[in-house]
Amino acid sequence: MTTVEIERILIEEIALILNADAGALSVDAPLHSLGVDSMSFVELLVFIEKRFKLKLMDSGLKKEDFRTVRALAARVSQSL
Amino acid sequence: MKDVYYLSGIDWVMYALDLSARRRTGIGTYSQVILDLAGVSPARDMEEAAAQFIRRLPVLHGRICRALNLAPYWNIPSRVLSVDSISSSSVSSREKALAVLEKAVNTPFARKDQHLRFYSVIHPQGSYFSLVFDHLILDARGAETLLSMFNEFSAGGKIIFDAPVQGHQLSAWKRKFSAGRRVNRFFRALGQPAEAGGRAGRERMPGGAECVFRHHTFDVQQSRRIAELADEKAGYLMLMPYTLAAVISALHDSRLGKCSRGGEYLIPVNLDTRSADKCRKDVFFNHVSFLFFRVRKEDSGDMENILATVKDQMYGQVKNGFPRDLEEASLLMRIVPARLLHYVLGTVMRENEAAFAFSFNAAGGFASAEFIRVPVRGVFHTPRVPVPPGMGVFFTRYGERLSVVFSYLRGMISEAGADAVMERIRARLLGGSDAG
Repeated sequence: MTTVEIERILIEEIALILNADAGALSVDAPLHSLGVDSMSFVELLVFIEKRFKLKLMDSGLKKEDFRTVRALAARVSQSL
Repeated sequence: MKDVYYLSGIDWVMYALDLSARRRTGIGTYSQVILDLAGVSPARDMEEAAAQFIRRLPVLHGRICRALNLAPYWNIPSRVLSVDSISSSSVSSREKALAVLEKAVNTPFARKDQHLRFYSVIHPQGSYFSLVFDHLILDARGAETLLSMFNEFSAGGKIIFDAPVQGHQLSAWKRKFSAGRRVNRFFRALGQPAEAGGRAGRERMPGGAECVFRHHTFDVQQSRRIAELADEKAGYLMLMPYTLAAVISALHDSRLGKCSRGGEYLIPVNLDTRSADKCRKDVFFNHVSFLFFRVRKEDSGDMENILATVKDQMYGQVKNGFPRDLEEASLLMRIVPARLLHYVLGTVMRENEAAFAFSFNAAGGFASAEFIRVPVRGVFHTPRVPVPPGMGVFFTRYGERLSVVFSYLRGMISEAGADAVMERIRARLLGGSDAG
């Protein structure tokens, strides 16, 4: 799976969680600026665990890995 | 019936909690959102706008009825006959203004079909504008959104008010019963009766019971520092778990918060993850999710331990679909008469008595920099706490600024004790270990 495909999957999931329009969400925007908060972020991490079999919550990743959807997708792609 | 708003399960639970609060304290589940203004809005503009605004919203004058299919719904009158919309006053200090607002949220509405009231209180440094509301009709972010709509309306903006509509959701019973079983298992796993000796739990509070508030709004620098510390200690976007951990630690050190016989604090947390756009679409009724955290007393002196526990439980509950199960299962409870549900909830709450209530309101409900042409300095909420536990801590974000309110039943804690709790919460949030 390519990083671009992962980005698309993550954007669609964030749109679902936030009840927002996926087309309005940028992969380069910080997650908090999209409206993601503690609870919705945990929902996203749970989705990543179920979809990609990766548990990121306690994996010691840096804050930079979570800053944008692009960064998060790159990190997921590396771990697959 | 078509085009009516059938209550959700969470709305029905709120109704049962409202009955419970009225029996124990004489007052329902009211709350208040307060705007701290750097000036005074023109009184006449405000009063006229408030009366017109409320008159256009018959939904605010509804009451709960049961349909033939047994699902409860919100009966909306076709028109509003009388409007008692705003109370204005002027006092000599900011402290006296806050005392007026404290009294406002502790005063029952005059009529059964009244569910909100505006207050404007002028003091020498500016004014407060508040909305006291009934949780039957609005949740915290819904109330902020309604204030935002009122602000636009008073500025001449055209607001289209569609009456809320929601289906009865009387299908997929098997799924609801399965969710109910999982929720029941979850509560049984939680359940260890609280230690004896608490006074707010069981008995009726004689002659009503007022809630008292302590409030603090952090300045922008302090709010940024708290966000940085949350990033550093709890992780990216983990501000809510960080604030919860700070409060657990502060209340533990203050020797407050009832503990179970098993030596754990139980904390129910309500969260609203809706985007600002979604709040606009669903202004009325309750749209919160609930999580329940258990923290061992012996771990509560250490922020790192608390944070690890809170994050782990948050992840586990979301992964197991607990918030969704609770939403589904609560739909079943609508069949139960409210008075019986009040009794059942009372039993569940006695078996799983909370140490304190907690909520964290994300920014976005009210986001405007001005209210009726006056700059807004801050936004915070002063909810009457559920009884039990009779005390709670509530956070609100407005722009970058973070506010915290400690709310408790008068008499549970001394004035000096409440001040010390607030000082400890502030110190913990800013990275200090103790405020003394």
